[in-house]
Amino acid sequence: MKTILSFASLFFIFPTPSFSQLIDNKVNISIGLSSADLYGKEVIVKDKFIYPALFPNYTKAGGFSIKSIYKLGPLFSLGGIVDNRIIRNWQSSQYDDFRGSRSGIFALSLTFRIHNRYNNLGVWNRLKVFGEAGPVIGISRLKFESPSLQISNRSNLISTLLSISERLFGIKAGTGIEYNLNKYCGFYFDFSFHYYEIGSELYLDNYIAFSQVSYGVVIRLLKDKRFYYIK
Amino acid sequence: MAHRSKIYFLSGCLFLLCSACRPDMQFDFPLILTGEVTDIDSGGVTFHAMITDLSKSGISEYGFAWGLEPIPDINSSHVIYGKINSTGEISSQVVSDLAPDAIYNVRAFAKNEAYITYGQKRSFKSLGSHPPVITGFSPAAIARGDSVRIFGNYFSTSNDNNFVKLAGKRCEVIRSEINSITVNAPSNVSGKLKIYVDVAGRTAISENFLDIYGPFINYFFPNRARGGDQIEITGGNFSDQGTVKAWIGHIEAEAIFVSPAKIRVIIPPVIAHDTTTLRIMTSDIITEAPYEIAIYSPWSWIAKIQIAPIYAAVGFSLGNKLYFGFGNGDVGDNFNEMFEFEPSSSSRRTITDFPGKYRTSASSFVIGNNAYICQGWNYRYGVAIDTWSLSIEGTWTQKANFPINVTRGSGFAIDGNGYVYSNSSMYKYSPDQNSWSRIESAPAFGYYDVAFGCSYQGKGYLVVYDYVAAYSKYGIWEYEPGNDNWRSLALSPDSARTYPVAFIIDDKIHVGMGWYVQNNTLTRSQKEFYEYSISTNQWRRITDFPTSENTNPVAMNIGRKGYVVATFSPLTGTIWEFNPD
Repeated sequence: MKTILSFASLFFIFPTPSFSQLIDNKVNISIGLSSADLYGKEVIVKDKFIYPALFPNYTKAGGFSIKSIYKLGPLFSLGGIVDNRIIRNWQSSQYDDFRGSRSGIFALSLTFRIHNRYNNLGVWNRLKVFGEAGPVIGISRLKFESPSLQISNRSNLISTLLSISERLFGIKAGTGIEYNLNKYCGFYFDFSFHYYEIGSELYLDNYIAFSQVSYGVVIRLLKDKRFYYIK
Repeated sequence: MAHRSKIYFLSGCLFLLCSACRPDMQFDFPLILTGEVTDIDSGGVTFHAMITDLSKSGISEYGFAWGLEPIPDINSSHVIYGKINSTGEISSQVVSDLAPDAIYNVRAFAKNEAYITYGQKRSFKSLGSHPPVITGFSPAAIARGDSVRIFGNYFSTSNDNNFVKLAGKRCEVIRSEINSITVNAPSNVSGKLKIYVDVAGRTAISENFLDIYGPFINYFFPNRARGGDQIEITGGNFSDQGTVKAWIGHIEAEAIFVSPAKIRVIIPPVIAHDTTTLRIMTSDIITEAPYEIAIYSPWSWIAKIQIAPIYAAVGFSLGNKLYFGFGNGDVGDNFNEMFEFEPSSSSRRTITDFPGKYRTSASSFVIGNNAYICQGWNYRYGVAIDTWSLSIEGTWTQKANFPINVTRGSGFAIDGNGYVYSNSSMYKYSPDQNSWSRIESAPAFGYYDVAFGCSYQGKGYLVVYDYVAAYSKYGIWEYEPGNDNWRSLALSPDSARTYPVAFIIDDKIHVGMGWYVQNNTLTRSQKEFYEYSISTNQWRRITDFPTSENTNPVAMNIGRKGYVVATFSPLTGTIWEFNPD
């Protein structure tokens, strides 16, 4: 609901009605916020080894993303995306292992986008519907509120392991829209599904799966200098 | 311009790719995760863990630690394994050192040369495990305080969780493994002792005896006894120097005789049914009998019948049946019912056709197949002097009136005649002549009242007590009709009590319960019972009555069994049987 309201608020923030023709552009920079829902089972079972899962038991996830999209042709674009998310509020009905922990996921993805053709007139002059997919690499950093494991040396001094970073890689795919308000800016909304493979010494999850809603502004750069006039 | 944008874009992608790389992690310490406990049943559990990092120097040992404490560690119960060269899942089936229905915590651990790492804690409710087993020990004989190694299985690996006892004293556990325990014997125990090992609430007992030099017990007799009985213990190296103590289980028993080879002790009256240890201490050294002693209680609950609460009731036995009733009702009026109960069949009947005056504090005696009820107090008519007999067939017949207006007496029968003592005088009733005659020789007992009358081998016995203040001990008077002779017998060793009840079995008069009196006030009801032997003229305390509730009881006997009937709340109608055997 919060996501929908935030998205709707963009119409009020940028209410500019425009009837003028907009020219297409080559490069878009999108900056926006994201909210995610993680998927997976509460408990990981490997033969008889039963252990609480880390990522599926987080109930809050959000962050920001920056996209840079370069238009390759009338229907295709290529871009890069930087995503940074904070995942928190770990809850389990049976375990306390990761309670109070937070995970940060910093991900870079190369994205290939298919979108509708630019139109000189009408709604397709301003609205772009797209689908995109691409590989992702990144880092997950898990921070514990209290020590997960007790580590002692021979002097009985206790050291603790309060955080750990892991590499991840995977894919993402999604769809969305961009609406151009004027020749300088617009806004976007997209929905995407992410699947990253990951491994760690401190938890047994071997993937992160989540869906994400992202929304924000689009800064339009490098105009396509072909003009068409209507008689 | 387009060329420049491509450069920007590709540069950005390269930056992102590079920043995604992370250094390869290799820890100084091992990493291990504790999994959920599985396969929980009465035979044990299975622990699971995942080793996720061997550490730079490898893992030298790993395992699981568990216990009832919140954070178990290597000092708790544990299983331990040696070196492991690969990461992955490990598990361990644990079949000992787990008590049923207890909540345990477990942590996996892994060690290298410098560090020990514990995984997260997992909790589980145990359903039990194998009890400990002792297969032997070495050496077979030691001096006090020396060490002995016990062999077996299913011991705890924690010194704190192996409870090893000798003669009831805990040994210091030096080393614990699942199949052996090494302990130091206590310095104050000796004898031929069985070794007790308690693990997780279950106990193993060695078959053979560990011989610790010092006082010892060979045997005792009898090996089955009840409160008040004497036990003779035979052994050696006993000393009468210093304190001599004995214990039946955890209850201290009085030692009444000590010699180098024999000790006699008295079974405490507070022990009911139990089969337990017998220990003695001489010269501050404790030793234990090689087998357990069986203690039994002569008291048993046999029935509860539905009657209204009454007090100052009368009770007697006729044939194989108990009779009790009359007395005062709860509202102060006389109660008009008598109850009949046959212990052998538990049959019961209420007798409502008593034709005489209802009464409280009546006296009774039994001659052959007839019971006689006389004296008493009727709220409407005052002292009731009408005498009635109840035949074994249940017929009431009026007899000659009691000669004087007295109450609160007790009666007995000898050679077909009845005798009732009351208020410093005694009268004899002859059924053949249906007449009463005074026994002139009867002494006055002063402030003493008569609680009970009975006969044995042609003599009458009266249990008397001080009903005014109970300052004095109570005692027994003996009457011999043949020569009209009275004799005061031994006073009870008991402290003062009033309103006791009594019954006779063979030559033993059993007196007990009643009230403790302080400052002329009944302060508390009592459950102590004493036994007087007519043959030896001696008293001894015996097993306590099962409750100290105020029961306003009546007592009687049938053959070699005594009976106590509670006639007042909260146990109204409850019948207990006393079986001396």
